[in-house]
Amino acid sequence: MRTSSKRLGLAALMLAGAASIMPLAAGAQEAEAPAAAAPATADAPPPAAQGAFQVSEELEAMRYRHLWIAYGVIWLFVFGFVWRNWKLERATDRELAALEARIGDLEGAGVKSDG
Amino acid sequence: MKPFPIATALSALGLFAAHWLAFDFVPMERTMGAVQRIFYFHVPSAWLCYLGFLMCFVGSVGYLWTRRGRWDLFALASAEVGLIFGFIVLITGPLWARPAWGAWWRWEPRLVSMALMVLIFCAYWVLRTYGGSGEGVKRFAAILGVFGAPNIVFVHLAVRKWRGTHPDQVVARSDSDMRVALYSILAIMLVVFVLLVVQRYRIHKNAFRVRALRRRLSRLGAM
Repeated sequence: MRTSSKRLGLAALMLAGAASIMPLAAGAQEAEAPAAAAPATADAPPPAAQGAFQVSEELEAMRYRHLWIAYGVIWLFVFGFVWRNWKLERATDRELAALEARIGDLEGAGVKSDG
Repeated sequence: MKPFPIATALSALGLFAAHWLAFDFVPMERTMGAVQRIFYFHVPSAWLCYLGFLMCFVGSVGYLWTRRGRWDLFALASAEVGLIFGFIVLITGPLWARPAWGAWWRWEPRLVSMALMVLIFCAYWVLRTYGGSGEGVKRFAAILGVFGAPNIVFVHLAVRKWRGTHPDQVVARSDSDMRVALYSILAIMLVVFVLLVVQRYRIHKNAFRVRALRRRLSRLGAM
């Protein structure tokens, strides 16, 4: 149980690590690519300065897509962690009760044989 | 009635309320549009990540000072929960940055220092999980916790000291509704954070008791 829990933990860490590193890798690729492809950058003039600035449909769709993915990640992390904790807590509670009962039996038997 | 299940049920309800605050209560931000709503979980997650690592620091100092196991378990539970919130920050940040900055990642001080701090606590977690339960491992992990947590100061001041792309003083410049939503969500997430730390602490404490009982059982079996 303990080993599979550790494997699950390591897998979760690797997954989280990979998810964190993916933007780094993507960032490195974008650094090589021309910056002109970017839809909106922090260096670009603010919308008011551009006059009739219209947010492209593509950018608007990307904003919503990224919003849902971000909230999905938050839910996945929080509830995945809660679920894993809940399973682990139940397993350790069960093991603890079983061990205490076994020790109680052994000690009880020892007392009887001594008496 | 037990307080823990009630608090868990209340925090679950609180999380639904937090989503209502983030998606319905606050107005749409004019420049960034819908993606700015990531802010309401991204920022509190960063603060709770700091808090988790700070609590790990306190627990580690307590353990090194007293050598009592409860400090060690407190440090471990806090670091684990802090790490979860750290990963949330590192993943939601680039998802926000791509439409806002036009890049997933920029090698700027706030982002890099945050990633490094999370990596330090990843090392702490790996050490505690795979290094065994010996006294030496606990001591080494406590030292790692003591040296890892002060990075919070560097991460927090990185924006002001080494000006990068990451914005500074966002909360102070926010609309009042936005601030109300942010602080309410922070309060809800703080409850979730405390519950998670308590739960992790209990799991580690029970695992410690299981190991002690196994040792006792093997001694009884040898009798």
